[in-house]
Amino acid sequence: MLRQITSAAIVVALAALSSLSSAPADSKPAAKTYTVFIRGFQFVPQRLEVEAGDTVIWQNEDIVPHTATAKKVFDSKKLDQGQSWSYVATKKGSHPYICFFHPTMAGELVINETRAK
Amino acid sequence: MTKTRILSVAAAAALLAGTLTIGTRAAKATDGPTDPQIVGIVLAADQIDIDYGKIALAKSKNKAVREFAQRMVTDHSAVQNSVIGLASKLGVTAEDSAISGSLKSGARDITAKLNTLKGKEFDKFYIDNEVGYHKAVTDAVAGVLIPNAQNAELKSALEGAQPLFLKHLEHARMVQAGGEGKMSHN
Repeated sequence: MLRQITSAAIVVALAALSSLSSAPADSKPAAKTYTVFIRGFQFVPQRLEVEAGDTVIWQNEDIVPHTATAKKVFDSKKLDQGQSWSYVATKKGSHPYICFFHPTMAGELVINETRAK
Repeated sequence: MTKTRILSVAAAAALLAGTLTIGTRAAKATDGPTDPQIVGIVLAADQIDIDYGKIALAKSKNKAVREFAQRMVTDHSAVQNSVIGLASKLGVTAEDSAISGSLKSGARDITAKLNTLKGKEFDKFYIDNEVGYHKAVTDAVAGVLIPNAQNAELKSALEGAQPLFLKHLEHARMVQAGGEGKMSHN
């Protein structure tokens, strides 16, 4: 009986070790990258929801310069046709943004908590 | 209506007079502008607004007005280059027409008025005119130029340019209402 209990304990211990070794070293999931296209004087998608740590790229496809500007949060500065700019999402919350040059062009970036494991 | 306001509206009327006498769908096959004329109209309309913008940059001290004017010069210059490139690719040579003639004639009056005004009067006239002008242009592009364009690429380019004119119209209305942002930018 004692031998059986000991064997069972070893199996359990090994299983526990096995599960530990297969767990990811970092509990944070891989950050994602999203692209917002600027085309036809619109941000596409107009609203984007990401997690903190993700990267957002704005890419200007229009023939005129644009920006992606959320006051005191992020600012791409001038993006000519074909240029892009990336931002690592850090400040959580809803951030409305505009094109500084064309202030009626509006988008929204929502930054949520990092995903749970 | 003040004399200033009348002249401002005249810019819009100049374009619409040409388009409305041509008519819309019914006249499309016979009286509408040809592709070379459409290219001529777009180039004229663009150049006129670039010239207005340059005058505003030279005369206005209002930050919002200056930023708007700079945007008109930059954006319409980009459109101008794009249209010239497309016309060259398609082998289309711009032609004058009643509409482009009306545009240029109206622009001469507006330019003369812009050159006589100063300060807040200038700013108000410039922005009021930009609102009327872009409204007229967007209406003409949608109602006359796009329906009459025969070449698919030209038609597509006109459709692609509409958001620019519409955003300029919205921007002009924002400045007109005093709602322009105060940030500076590169």
